[in-house]
Amino acid sequence: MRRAGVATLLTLLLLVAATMLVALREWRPAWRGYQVAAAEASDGPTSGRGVVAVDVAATGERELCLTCHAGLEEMSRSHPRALGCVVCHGGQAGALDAEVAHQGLVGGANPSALDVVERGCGAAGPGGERCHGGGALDRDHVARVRRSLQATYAGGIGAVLTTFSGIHGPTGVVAEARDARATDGLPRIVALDARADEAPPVGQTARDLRQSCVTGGCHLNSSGGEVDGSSGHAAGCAACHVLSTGAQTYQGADAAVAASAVPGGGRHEFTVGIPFTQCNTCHNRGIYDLRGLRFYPRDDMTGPQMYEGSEASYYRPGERYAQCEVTLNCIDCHTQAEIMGDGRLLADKAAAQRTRCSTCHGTPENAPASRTVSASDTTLRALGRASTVYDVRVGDRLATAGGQQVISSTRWEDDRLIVTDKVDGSQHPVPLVRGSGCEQDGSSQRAQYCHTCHYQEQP
Amino acid sequence: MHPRVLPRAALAWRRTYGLGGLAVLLTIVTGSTGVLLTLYYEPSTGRASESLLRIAYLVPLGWLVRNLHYWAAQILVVVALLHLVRVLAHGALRGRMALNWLVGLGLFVAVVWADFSGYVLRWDLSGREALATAGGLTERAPVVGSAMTRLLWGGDGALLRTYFWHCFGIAAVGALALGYHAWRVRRDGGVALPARRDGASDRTLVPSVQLVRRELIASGVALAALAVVSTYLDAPITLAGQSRAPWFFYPIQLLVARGDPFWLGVVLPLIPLALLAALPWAPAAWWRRGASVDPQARDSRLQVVESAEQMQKRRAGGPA
Repeated sequence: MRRAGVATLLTLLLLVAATMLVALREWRPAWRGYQVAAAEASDGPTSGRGVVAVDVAATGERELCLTCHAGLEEMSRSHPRALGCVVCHGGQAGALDAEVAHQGLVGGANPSALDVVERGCGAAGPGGERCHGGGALDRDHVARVRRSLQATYAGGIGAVLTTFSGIHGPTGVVAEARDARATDGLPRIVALDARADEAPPVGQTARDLRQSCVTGGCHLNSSGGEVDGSSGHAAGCAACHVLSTGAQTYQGADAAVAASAVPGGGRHEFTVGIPFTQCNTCHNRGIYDLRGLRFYPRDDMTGPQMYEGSEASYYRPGERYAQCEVTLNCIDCHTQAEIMGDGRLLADKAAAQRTRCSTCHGTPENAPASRTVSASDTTLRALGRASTVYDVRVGDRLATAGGQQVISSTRWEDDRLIVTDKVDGSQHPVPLVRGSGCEQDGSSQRAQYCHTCHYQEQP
Repeated sequence: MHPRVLPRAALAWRRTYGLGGLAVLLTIVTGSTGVLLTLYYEPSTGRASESLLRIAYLVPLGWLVRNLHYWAAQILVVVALLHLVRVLAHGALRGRMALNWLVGLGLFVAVVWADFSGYVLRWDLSGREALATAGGLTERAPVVGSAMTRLLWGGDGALLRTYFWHCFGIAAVGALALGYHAWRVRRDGGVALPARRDGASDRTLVPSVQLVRRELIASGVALAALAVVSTYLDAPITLAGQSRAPWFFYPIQLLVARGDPFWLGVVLPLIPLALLAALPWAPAAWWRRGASVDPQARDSRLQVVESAEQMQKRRAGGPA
């Protein structure tokens, strides 16, 4: 009987212990820990908020993601929380544990990576209309970016191939925008790809270039992680629109993903006001050694300097730049079509670049070309709506580099051309060449000639 | 279910390993948690998986109910199989126990079917694919294939049909069969007892309260273990990614990949089941050398049953 009593007592203790474990899980679910951590980080009250549900009006779905992702930054003004998470990220919004909730995520944490972008940024939004893909080419950012030099790195590959092997790759326009051949998957520069099958060293070089520069290095098709000690950027659209901080982990306030590896160390924030420092994460980091196909970061500006906004750190020693190039940001002059592509498959940068000094400054003979915004300029007006520092209205007269290549943040006011800095909103009157005493021949006016006189001494 | 007194030998752990009792307990757990799940589960294709997420994450203690339901069902398949093997090993399927053997086999099939239909009811990626595979297999059956497929899995209303079988068809018939199965064990003389080496049987009788106490303790331990497992291991749901077949159908999945799905996926698994069903009528020497069940002991068990019934009647004032 005594043994039976002990066994009964032990069984009761077991049941009590099991009940306590059940109660512990019920009262302290895993997501509550994230909420407490986020509250502590923001010096807010640490009492639990409970399950956070967002009813997405457009889809009629209830999303619970913010229960765990407490403290997560709102993506942007045009991507408010009310839009929900699933429309961009996929996943299972009704789940409250990571294993289930993250099933079906598009591109992990980054739905803008180019290998998934058509299911992410380019997918259909709540209304069923594709957000940043599909439709007319000027609105199909996904198709254009995937064919752009930023994604293919064709210019770099061509230059290195030519230098290394003496064989000239294609130049100029490889495929027109109407040629849909390269819209399926990674755009391929056929002429360069074909060389991958050639005998060494050409074939090996072509293969290495693809591997190290396009898919494994720093261009948009890659994750853009740390390359040879330099801090990189996120992949895809986020490479430019999510600002790098120089770190390699997430830098935002979402406790659920704190310290997660994020190339470039960005936050959950998109911007269209992209400062030159972001362009720096690719364009001013160092040089490529053609023999070893290795990248050597600059040794005169290491680490965070690249991200502090120091103008001194922007320019390579010995290069010549004019004042406007030091004062403004890259995107203040270079148009969306130049940077994100215009749908054509190009082999080099020269084929993409439209903006010249004369685009805004004009020539000794002529004022800058301009274009008046009409109601049908939906894409142009959309650029203004997306920005927080400038607007594009019907009737505005803007400087243009020809066709759709319009410097959207410029505006003629009376007889003055004003350019608005797209990052900080500061306004700058543009000095015109005409009437300035400049003796330049307008018909052959090129940047290097302008730089001869307008060279800005490095600080 | 128990007589008032039992042979002491019947209480020995090695007689049953507690498998039958554990199976009953797990059935009760799956049944009771299943009833609770029906309060929130919505058997429609558009809402099923969503309602499951609601149960798992929003309903108070819903995760516990779902996990208990899932783990009890998984363990029940294993326990039922072990119970079947134990009965086979003890030779408790011959003579008057043959009918209960068949009932037990039927219950085992019901357990697997219930498990499978529960898997489908998740209506996640794995559940939908499992249903498609099962429908594909039964559809290939000659003559009755189409009708059987519609009966078992339905057509357009596959989820609702599966829900019916899971919650009402299998559950109702299974509960009745289980009650009969347990009653029949007593009717057939209780658990099989081995013959003693000296040829005599241990005729010592003990009150059944001892068995009940052991059963309660074992149930408590089992429930505690089940609760711990259910606290730390969540029942799976696969809404995207790689679907997985039910673990107890892996052998069939492997077979189907190697030849004709109907013959390898349906007929071949039915062969061992048919052989098991026919086993009670096989010559003893053919399938087992010497009976482990002592006829004398069985007689004594029958006497125990009868004496207990007589005792009850006496207490009730009826004729002895």
